[in-house]
Amino acid sequence: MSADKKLIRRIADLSNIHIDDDELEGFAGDMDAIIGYMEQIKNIDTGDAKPMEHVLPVHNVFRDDIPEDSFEREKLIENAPSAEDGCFKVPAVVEQ
Amino acid sequence: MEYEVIIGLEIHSELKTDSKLFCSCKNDFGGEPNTRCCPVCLGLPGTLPVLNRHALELAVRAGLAMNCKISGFSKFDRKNYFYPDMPKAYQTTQYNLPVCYDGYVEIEVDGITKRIGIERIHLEEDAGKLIHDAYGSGSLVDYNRCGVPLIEIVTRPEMNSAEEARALFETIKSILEYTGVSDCKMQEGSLRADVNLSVRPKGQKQFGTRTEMKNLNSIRAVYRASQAEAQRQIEILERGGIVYQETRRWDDRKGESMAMRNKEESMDYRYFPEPDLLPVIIGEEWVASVEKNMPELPRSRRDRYVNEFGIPKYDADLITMNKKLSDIFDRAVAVCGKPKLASNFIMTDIMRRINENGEEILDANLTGDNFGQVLLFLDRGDITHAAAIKVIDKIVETGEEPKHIIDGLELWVQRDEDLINNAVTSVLEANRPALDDFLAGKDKAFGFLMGQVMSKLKGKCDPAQVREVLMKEIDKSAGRQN
Amino acid sequence: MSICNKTIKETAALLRSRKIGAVELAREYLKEIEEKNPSVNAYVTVCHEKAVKAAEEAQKLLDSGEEISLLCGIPMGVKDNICTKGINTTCASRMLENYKPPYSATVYERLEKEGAVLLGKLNMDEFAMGGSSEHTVFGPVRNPWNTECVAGGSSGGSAASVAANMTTFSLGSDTGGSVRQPASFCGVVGLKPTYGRVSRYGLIAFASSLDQIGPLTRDIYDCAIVMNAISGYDSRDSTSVNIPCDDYLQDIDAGVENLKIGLPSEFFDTAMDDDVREKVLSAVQRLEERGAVIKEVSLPSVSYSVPAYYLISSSEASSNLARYDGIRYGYRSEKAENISQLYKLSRSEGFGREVKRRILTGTYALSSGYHDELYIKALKVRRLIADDFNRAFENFDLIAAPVYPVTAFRIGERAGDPLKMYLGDIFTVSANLAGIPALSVPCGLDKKGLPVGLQLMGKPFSEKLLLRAGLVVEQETGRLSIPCEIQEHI
Repeated sequence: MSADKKLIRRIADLSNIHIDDDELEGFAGDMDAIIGYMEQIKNIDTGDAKPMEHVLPVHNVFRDDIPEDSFEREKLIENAPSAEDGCFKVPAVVEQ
Repeated sequence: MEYEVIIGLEIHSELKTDSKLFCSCKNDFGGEPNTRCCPVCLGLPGTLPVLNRHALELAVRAGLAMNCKISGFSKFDRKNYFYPDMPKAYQTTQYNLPVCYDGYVEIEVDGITKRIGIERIHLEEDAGKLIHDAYGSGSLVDYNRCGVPLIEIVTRPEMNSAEEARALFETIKSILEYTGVSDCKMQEGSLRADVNLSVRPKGQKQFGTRTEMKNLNSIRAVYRASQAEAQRQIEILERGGIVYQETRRWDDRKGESMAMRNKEESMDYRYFPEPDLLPVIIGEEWVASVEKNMPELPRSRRDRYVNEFGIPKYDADLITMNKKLSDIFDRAVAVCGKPKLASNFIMTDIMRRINENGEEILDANLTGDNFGQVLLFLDRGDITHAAAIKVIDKIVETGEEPKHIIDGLELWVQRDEDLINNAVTSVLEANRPALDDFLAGKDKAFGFLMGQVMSKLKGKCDPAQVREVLMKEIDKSAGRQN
Repeated sequence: MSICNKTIKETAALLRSRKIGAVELAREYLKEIEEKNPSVNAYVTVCHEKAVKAAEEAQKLLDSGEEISLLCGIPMGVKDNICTKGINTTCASRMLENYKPPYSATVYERLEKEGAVLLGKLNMDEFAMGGSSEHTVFGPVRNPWNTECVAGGSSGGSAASVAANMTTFSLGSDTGGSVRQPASFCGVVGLKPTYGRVSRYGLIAFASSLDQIGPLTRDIYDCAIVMNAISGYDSRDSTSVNIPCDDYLQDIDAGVENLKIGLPSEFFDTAMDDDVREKVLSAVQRLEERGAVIKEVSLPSVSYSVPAYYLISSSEASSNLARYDGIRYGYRSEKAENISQLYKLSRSEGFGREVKRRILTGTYALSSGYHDELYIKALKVRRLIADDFNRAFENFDLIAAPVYPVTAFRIGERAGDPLKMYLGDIFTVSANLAGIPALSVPCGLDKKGLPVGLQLMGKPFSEKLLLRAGLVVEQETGRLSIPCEIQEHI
């Protein structure tokens, strides 16, 4: 396979990243090399190896259901590029 | 042509935990925007989730209550998608190894019991909420609800009518309430359902194209949306049209649904195992301990009412469908020892009040204890039935002690024989024609006389006692006449 | 001569004997930073006032006569992907250029509690993606040994600041070699602990299943001191392991006699600079002379570690970095007119090119149609690699290898060829995939006068043994310090 521009557009869309037309060529070139290389993994015979999702042989890590005071709202909102009435503000979202 | 309707439900229920699923923020409805948040549920860079054990146990409890198998090995996954109410841009959920799978619940429609399969129950986190700002210049995001634990219950597509869908939703709601898994406050969105529905000509093997209706948050909406969607699809097929696979939004006010922008094809959630959470292993012992602590389920409670108390099944069904009512009933029976009296009173007088004023009357002042005491007084003949109703109304209103209310309103039954005798005598004297009618065989006239006496006594005497005295006096006058 | 070239151990002794005060020490370092940072570019934030204040507090502790940590009053630098409450934490990205986290990472809290003094935040490859610290919104970090060369990455600032005496020690993070490789390029000690040994809470995630915070220090002894402070269970990180920690200083000088050390043939068959090969093998020989038993070992699957690593790390990164949307924090495009543009433009303008490449790679690997044959396949290869190590550790105590095929290269030399950069990670990524600890210890200079590092890997939680062996290498090859004539030019 090769990373053509159409594929890059689709992946960029899924990643929510805008790519300018004049950047597209460059990205497609990079991605073609990178993905082309990564794809060699398809040819490896992994037999019946199970996917390794965690390296730690640990399970059942829990916390108790004990509520604590929440964080100061001002501190949470401080970094927001736009805020109003204690809320984070975004351009109007029309329900899909 | 005849059509077969096929319905499956996906039910989301918020869990009744004290804290959120992955952080220690309070799990509480409402509050000023973004005041039940912390760096973890806001997904600030560098923060990590830690699983709430109780949330997991509630999910297991729900599974056991719905006859599910419990996964020995379960894990969490990330469902990746962008939306402003999702601060991490992924929802932590369970993809291929849910906590519970392969169960069933039994529903009853028109006296027929039917088993509906539960495909899976998985644990996941809720999202925040978008509010439209006052000036229309944008939307505001409140993350208070973000990270609240949810279970998603996925049924098999085994319901064939809106009635069945409604019955299933009601049954699951009552199971969740009974088991303490959720408080199912639908007006707060803590229980909501998606309806997946398709139709096919009767006899056809292949399924029709299904649509999905999202976020129905009342029993009525599930029923009406199912009915309308079945109708809509049938009409399309009748016209020779095509049903599209799409997500639709139900407008409960208009009673119709509309297609949402169809993004099915481009939705690619890119699920993968959540690296920040380790797997969950639920051994037999753990399952057994959850089972041991399982509260009584509605079905078994109903059977107990029927078998032990001799209450009609219809009544038992109605009482157990509502957990709060059933809890009040149970406690009241324990207090007064008269299950039939209690169920009769509920079926007539309490039900009427629920129908008139809504379920809220069960929330506040009416308890099994005060209801039981009222029944006790009623049973002993200390108050009349009419008085009992007055007392209940007053309890709902003020929460006062029954005895206190009865004292205040002077509702105690008068046992003073002289008082009754005098009333009877004067009524008989004043209503000679009615007495004659009765003696002439017109039984109805007795009721009239009885009413007159009771009214004279302002309803404060035991009707049985009054009846007895009245009969005696009538007999006497009959004797005199003969 | 400045006081700023001393180790933690030496400095702690000076503080205790009142030869220097903590405030004076902090000021000395701040001066050093002021002088050298324009040419090294290791720091992106310098905490002048906070550092002095912290030093004053540390001095009080020192004066109190109570038993205090060796780190009390010791200056440190922290990689800029580790959250420091109220202090800019940028990941060297435009995306987080002005981000001040409202909470601190567990590691930073622990060090603060011991009295270590934060001098500032250190430059890095954006979101820790890279091996040269050139992909940064603040401009490349320069290697103090030769400022024409890269410092390595992604913890380039962490390594360069220690090497250039701009801090006593620093913290970095290692996802595929990001502590070890810059440590090797700058001639300092760097350790990637066992996955789960050091809390990740507050480390801004790149690839959650691989990331681990580690110390960069002037010598092995210092590395043990810092490890004693930062390792251990943290209830806020589900993947932090709840087993007791070793005292990493105990028996640190027990030597390597009879330790079995394996040399993976797959690594030594790989192309690398002759100088690197020679220095690494000569360090191994020294270990042998000190009593270690050296043998070849085979790790057949490590040859596939680079594609497996990039598929897994990019997949996780594509999800971890999805939260940067310009809503709650971070960069927001001013051009955005609707919600869709808010996402697309903010992310496009806020992320650098390498970060975008990784996100695209990861999104691709997880997307339907490729998920099983790329992402899941990579997880299977990861299992094979971990199994290889498990098997090897049945017969060996340690595995020795190079850290990187070359020494520090020139700035800009490899920037245009991302794939070539990726291939350089061949020796380091397998430790992350297997979750095992790995140490980089300097073992000499190449012909250009640039440092070479030896990598030692061990079983999970064998950090103590790694440090013991590392100390022997250090004793045999000598600590590296930048010659005065170069120091003066920085």
